[in-house]
Amino acid sequence: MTSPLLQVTDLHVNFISRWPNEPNIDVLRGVCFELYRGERVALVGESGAGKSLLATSIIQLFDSSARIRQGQVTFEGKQLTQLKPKQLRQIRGRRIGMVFQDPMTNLNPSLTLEQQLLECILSHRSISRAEARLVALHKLRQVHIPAPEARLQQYPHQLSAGQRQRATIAMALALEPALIIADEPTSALDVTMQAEVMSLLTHLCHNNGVALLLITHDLSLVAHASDRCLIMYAGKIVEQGPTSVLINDAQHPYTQGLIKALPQMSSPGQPLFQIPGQMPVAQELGNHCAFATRCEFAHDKCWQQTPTMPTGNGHRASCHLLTPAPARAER
Amino acid sequence: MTPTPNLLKISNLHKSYQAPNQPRHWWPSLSNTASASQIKAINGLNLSIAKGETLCVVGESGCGKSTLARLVMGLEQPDQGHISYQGNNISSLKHKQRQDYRQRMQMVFQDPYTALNPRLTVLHALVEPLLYHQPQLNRQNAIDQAMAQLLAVGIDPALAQRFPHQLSGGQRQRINIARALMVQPEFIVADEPLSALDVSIQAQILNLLAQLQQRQQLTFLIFSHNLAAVEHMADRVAVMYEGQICEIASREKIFNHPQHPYTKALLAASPQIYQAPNAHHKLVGDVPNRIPTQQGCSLQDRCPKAFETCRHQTPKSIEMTTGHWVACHLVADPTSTDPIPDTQVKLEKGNHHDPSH
Amino acid sequence: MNAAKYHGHHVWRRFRRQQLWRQLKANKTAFVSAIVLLSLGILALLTPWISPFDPTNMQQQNIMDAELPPFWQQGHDHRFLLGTDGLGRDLLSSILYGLKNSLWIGFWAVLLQFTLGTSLGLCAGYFGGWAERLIMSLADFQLTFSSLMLAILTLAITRAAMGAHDYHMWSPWLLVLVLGLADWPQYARTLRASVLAEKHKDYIAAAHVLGYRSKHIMVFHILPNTLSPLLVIATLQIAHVILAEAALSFLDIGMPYANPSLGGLMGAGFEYMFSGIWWIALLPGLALLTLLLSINLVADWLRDALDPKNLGHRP
Repeated sequence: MTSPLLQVTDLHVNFISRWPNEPNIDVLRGVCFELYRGERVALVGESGAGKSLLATSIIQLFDSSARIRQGQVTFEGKQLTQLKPKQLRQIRGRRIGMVFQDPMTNLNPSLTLEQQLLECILSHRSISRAEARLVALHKLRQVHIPAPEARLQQYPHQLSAGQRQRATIAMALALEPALIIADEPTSALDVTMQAEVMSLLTHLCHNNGVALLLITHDLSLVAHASDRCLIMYAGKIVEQGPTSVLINDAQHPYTQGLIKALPQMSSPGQPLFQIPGQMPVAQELGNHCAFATRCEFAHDKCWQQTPTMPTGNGHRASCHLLTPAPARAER
Repeated sequence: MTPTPNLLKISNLHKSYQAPNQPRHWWPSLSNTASASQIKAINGLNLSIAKGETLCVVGESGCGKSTLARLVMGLEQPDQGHISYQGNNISSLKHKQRQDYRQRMQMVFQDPYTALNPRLTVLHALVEPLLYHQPQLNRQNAIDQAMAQLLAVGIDPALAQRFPHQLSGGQRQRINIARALMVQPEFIVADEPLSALDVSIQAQILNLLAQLQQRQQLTFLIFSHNLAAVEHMADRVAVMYEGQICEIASREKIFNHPQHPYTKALLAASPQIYQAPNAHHKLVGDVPNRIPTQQGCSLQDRCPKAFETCRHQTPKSIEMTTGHWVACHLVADPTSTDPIPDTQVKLEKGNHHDPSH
Repeated sequence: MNAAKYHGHHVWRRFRRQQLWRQLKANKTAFVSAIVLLSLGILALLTPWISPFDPTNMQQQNIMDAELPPFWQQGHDHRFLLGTDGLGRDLLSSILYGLKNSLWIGFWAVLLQFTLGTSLGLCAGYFGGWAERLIMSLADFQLTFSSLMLAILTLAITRAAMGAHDYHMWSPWLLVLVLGLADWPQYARTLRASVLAEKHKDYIAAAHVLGYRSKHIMVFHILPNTLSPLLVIATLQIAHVILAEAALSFLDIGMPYANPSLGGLMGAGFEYMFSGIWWIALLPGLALLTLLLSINLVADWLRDALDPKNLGHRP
């Protein structure tokens, strides 16, 4: 069994509170998963579940007062949580690339594409400018940007949203990383552009052997664009497994609810299935299942004990409904 | 059976904008080159909506949806053409005369966060329109009505004193809907009401809209590019591209028998959970930069089936079957001469084609 | 109840929820500055009653009491805690009256600037077109001139025209007028930029769609959301105006000797510095420094504290 490319173990992330006497509450509450070389893994969850926070925690690019309280992130054998900032910088960009959500703001508006791509390439590799330019052109061609030589001289505002997103992917790929983390890369794009970018990402990952961690809230988007799927709820992973298995045979009530809530699953004119209530905020969580307030199958045990994720490799979910009742001792 | 009367009718609508980053002079422009820097957002659009129906306009960014929404709501004036509401021409009304219609037609915006004044509590946002139009109400009465509306959209009244930044996206969108309903409208325009929301929350909002429509006999004009939601909600669907309607039909006909190449491409690109993506009807290239004076069909650069006539003549909208209108030369005359070489070649070439000159 | 009244009611409630007191206590610097500022304000208000002497009253001054040092130096007189100036006037009373005058002029001048600049900026930004061009041209025109230079010019001419006696009678109002009209362009330009950005947001479009009139939208929707930078400018401007008035008084075209301001006192006492009689210029200068510093620190804190995102951290 090969060792995983990325392994996240029991990750707890919290925010430093503004008020001095308030306790710091965990937003990510013990996230564990693995990602293997060349694999496409989708991380699916609603807003507030902590998906983007998980992505930024892996490369420790926090934008507010978040910090890792406990847990480990192991990438290519190195413990990222123990590294010094200088060492982390060498991994970011070079070994882990990131694609962000908003195509309007993820490129620097005052630099041309060439300047940005070259800056990215030259800060990690000591090659000549001309060579770096060739690499940049090659990457732009790989992402199917038309007339790349002309595009290099253009500024981001002269490109359409789809082209900008593809340019961002080119930048993420520029140094041939082992892993690309894409945080909702297509949310701001139209349907046809979305389909293009998704097929581009999966195509590139297959061809270049790059692993992909795709973060989204849309299960139908990743149904055919990922090998494995992780469902995240209230700071924890509640179900994981091969995508096709997970979609056809969802175990956790939340996943089942997500699938049932898709408009395609109800006939027109009939009310859609909706998961009642809202995801609880970090302050409301305690020693019980976070989904209990919204679950139609909740029973006493759900309120008394937090369910755990079974160990193993295949399709598994953390739900009390799935753990068999302990066998009673025969008298 | 008498046909349902048209609530809203749009005829031959045109609207252009000055292209951004063009030098603006305060002296009147004498040359014709000024027109070259104009962007034609709406280009001869015709549409009608019957009372009580839900018409969904499907299109991607740049097709002019937001412009159309703003024109219908009177936030902008068209260059040419009419918009009439219950038979009265409202497109040329001045602000004061428009007030009557303001209460009958309301709008729900795309981004639930910027659509709310960040300094007003939820309750205040709902009470304000009520007190503005009916100042004779006393404060408690107005507050009671606002609370009732909050319950009607499924918001816990305990949240009434919260500010927008303390609410989730779904909750904000409900507040937006509640605010629009405070003035008791009969017609609601929703500009991408679901795009900023998670898929699981979209279900809640769709259900809410359907419920409200039934309860209050509302007419909806919904702009969206989310085909799954549209399929669930619409009575009729219009497909919009580059300021024109390319196809309009009942929901069943659009989704089961689409005719226009753009409609087919959109349906093929829409993510499906159980079906694998269909690359058969792909469009090539990106949404172009809207060259206004280009002749012919606006889809000519991206359509895999474009041929010579498409480059010279704008296709007219033809009624294929009852209520199903399509504007496409190929559909109008399937046996057209001078077809282009096969689709694969176009697709391949298209990847290196620069559409922006 | 109409919508405008409800807005007023709401502003009050929101202000209470802002928990300004709690935030003030949490920030040590701001807390101390606020206490200092408040004390200075109270002193200024109560000056006519608590001041030991009346510096405007020439009868109370005796040239024999001139140039007496403050109480911690040898040779002081117990009646004059901080010493006396060149003509026998009690420095403590002068400083108190000076404080009062400085704050009075600062407040009214800034109020004038603020009102003028805000209304013009709001109209320019909201209506656009010729109104915007006109107002911005006026603002640009005025900004090309140094406001202090203009003030000096205007006041010198006025003084020559009115004669010294009348001028001294009217000088507080004249100063307020001149300093108030000098700096309105800053507010207008800043506000116009913010209004342009805010105008295009969806909630303003929603306000149009709900049928509100322009005036209502401008005052109750756009202005509250663009006020924050203006409050910063206004508070900084209080300090700036007080300083400008001090400069003008130093040059003897501001407040007269008989009705002193802190700057005037500094100006009058400046020539004594070189003969070792430091207290006449320095003590009013320290008072001025304390006043300006506390204003700036409180203004800095206030801007952050009034951010609506600070609401609701506690239920």
